[in-house]
Amino acid sequence: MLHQYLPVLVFAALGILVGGAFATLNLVLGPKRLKGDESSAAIRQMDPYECGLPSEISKTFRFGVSFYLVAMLFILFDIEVVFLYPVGAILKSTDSVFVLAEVVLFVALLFVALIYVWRKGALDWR
Amino acid sequence: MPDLVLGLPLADTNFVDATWIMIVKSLVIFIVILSLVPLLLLGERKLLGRFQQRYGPNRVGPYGLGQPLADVGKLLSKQAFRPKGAVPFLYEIAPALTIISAVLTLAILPFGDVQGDVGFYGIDVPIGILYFFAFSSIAFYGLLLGGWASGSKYSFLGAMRSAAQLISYEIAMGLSLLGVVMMAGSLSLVDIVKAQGEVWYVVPQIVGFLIFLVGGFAETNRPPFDLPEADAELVAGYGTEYGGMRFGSFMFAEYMEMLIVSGIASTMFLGGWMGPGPPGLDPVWMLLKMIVLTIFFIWIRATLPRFRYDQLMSFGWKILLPLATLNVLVTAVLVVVT
Amino acid sequence: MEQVAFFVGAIGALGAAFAVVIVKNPFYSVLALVIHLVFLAGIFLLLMAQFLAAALIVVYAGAVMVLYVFVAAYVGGIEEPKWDSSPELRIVGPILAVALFIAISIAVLGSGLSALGTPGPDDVPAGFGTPEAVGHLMMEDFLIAFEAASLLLLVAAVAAIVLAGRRREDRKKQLTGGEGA
Repeated sequence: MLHQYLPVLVFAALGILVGGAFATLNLVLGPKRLKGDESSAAIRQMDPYECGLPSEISKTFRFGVSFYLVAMLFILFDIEVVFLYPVGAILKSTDSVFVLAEVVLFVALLFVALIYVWRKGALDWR
Repeated sequence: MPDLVLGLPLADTNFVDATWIMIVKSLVIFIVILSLVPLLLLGERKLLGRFQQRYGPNRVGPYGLGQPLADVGKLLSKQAFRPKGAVPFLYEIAPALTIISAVLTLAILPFGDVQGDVGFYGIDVPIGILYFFAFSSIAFYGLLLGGWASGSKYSFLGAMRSAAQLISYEIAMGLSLLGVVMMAGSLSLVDIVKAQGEVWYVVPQIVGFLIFLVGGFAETNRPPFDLPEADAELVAGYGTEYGGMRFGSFMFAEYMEMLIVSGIASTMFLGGWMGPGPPGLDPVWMLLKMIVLTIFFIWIRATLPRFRYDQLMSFGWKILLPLATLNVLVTAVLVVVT
Repeated sequence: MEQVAFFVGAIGALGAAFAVVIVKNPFYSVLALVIHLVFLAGIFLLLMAQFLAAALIVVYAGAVMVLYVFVAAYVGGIEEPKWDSSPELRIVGPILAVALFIAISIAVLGSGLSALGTPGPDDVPAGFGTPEAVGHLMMEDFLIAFEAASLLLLVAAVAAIVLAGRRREDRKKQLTGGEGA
């Protein structure tokens, strides 16, 4: 049974081959950097892209709390989706109202959660 | 427990072909998709040109057909460099990671049923569509690492944006496919295509189809959801500090993912390989549907302006997610009642 | 073939798990944890727990780790490694680790390790580990757990809002306190 996963290994090998080639080909084919090239252009080339006034990435560079909120809510609903897949797959074959009621209850509870976070303004990006 | 498990319909996911066939068919699928990508790149530029009343590339070879080769040649001849603040190794590995996860996802696309000794797909496993989601969450780390390891604020901002965007649309995408899974009663993509013998799921699951397409645009960072690389504000997002073929890798993976999302959409909603003609034509139909959907992606790019970031987030959470949830509820009721 | 796969998976999972603890930069720790999870999913697959393997990647690598990444980025470990070396933690940490190790050892040894040395069951029932089988189990044997999970998620949503609200206030205070410029 595990044998049917074998092509995954083949694809993985192909992916590593192509990805690795793309990541390294420029080292081989591209022009080389001259040793000891201390010209201003050679030094500038290594600077990260900048537009306007030069600025450091500040050490206390922080993101808005929305990012964490979104990530936390994502975990919740992702678990919902993963739980629903196996149940959804058997819904047709079992064909029972009982299973349907369970699914509806499950989804409804999380819908309540969605409405709650919505009302609390957590879905507004700021 | 065994008695209830044994009663499951598992006939076709148990088909296993010979080892050498597996290797050969994986190679064939890979090579076909790999050669489609440069054509797609050219096609997009040609089409965009036409949409904007210009010719598009037409200098290299007849009708500009040599353009992808010239592009690759140009990218290959660039100097490999790493900016000052970049993290060694991670900076190099990030573009490779996006390609690896995209190539791995190819395995799940079905191009036909089992014919003779060969199943026309990479793998047909019981987890089916979850495989696609698993590797799209790995692909996420390619972008994130790319942005983080570049040591540039534009890259980092782009990566964080794309992270929040990807996770916001993934739930709606997952829920949109759930309706199809419920109707087909299986997660295996081959079974799902077979279940569409009477009517393609795009008809009963039109809501799911639209949500999936929108989510697909967001997942592949295509316009109008190309905020991670919004060139007007973030230069090129997570790819800002990349050059040469490493930059090419991100582009390459994006186009491959576009094909994959089109492939999943055709499989789940548009009858997969089904079409008139002998069974030998199955892979052709599948490829055709994929390409048509991909052209739709390009068409949208030429049509719609980019979202604003707060619009993008609230669209995902406040419109798509409730809609997808309702779609799941209605489908569940309909599947059991009818 | 399976032995090779097992050892690759086991060595990868263990190595990545060690890296999580040893590496000093929190961001690298998170990345090592992702690698660990991928290898762990491979081992799950070897045990035919196909659905669990997929769920592990989708939920842990795809969702939980995203939050960790955000937090690691929030802590701001881009250049300098942040290593919380408060003396209390230095003492409490190892004690807790040893306690956890003992607890797990008791649980593992308590099973008697009866499967050691046996080849394992040859006849895994057809469909074992598939989403369908898991779905049946959820609907029949573990129904209460299934519904409790949705309730738990609801509670977690409330908790997330409360936590985020507190952070938001902190941030506001910081900004009005003259630090933000």
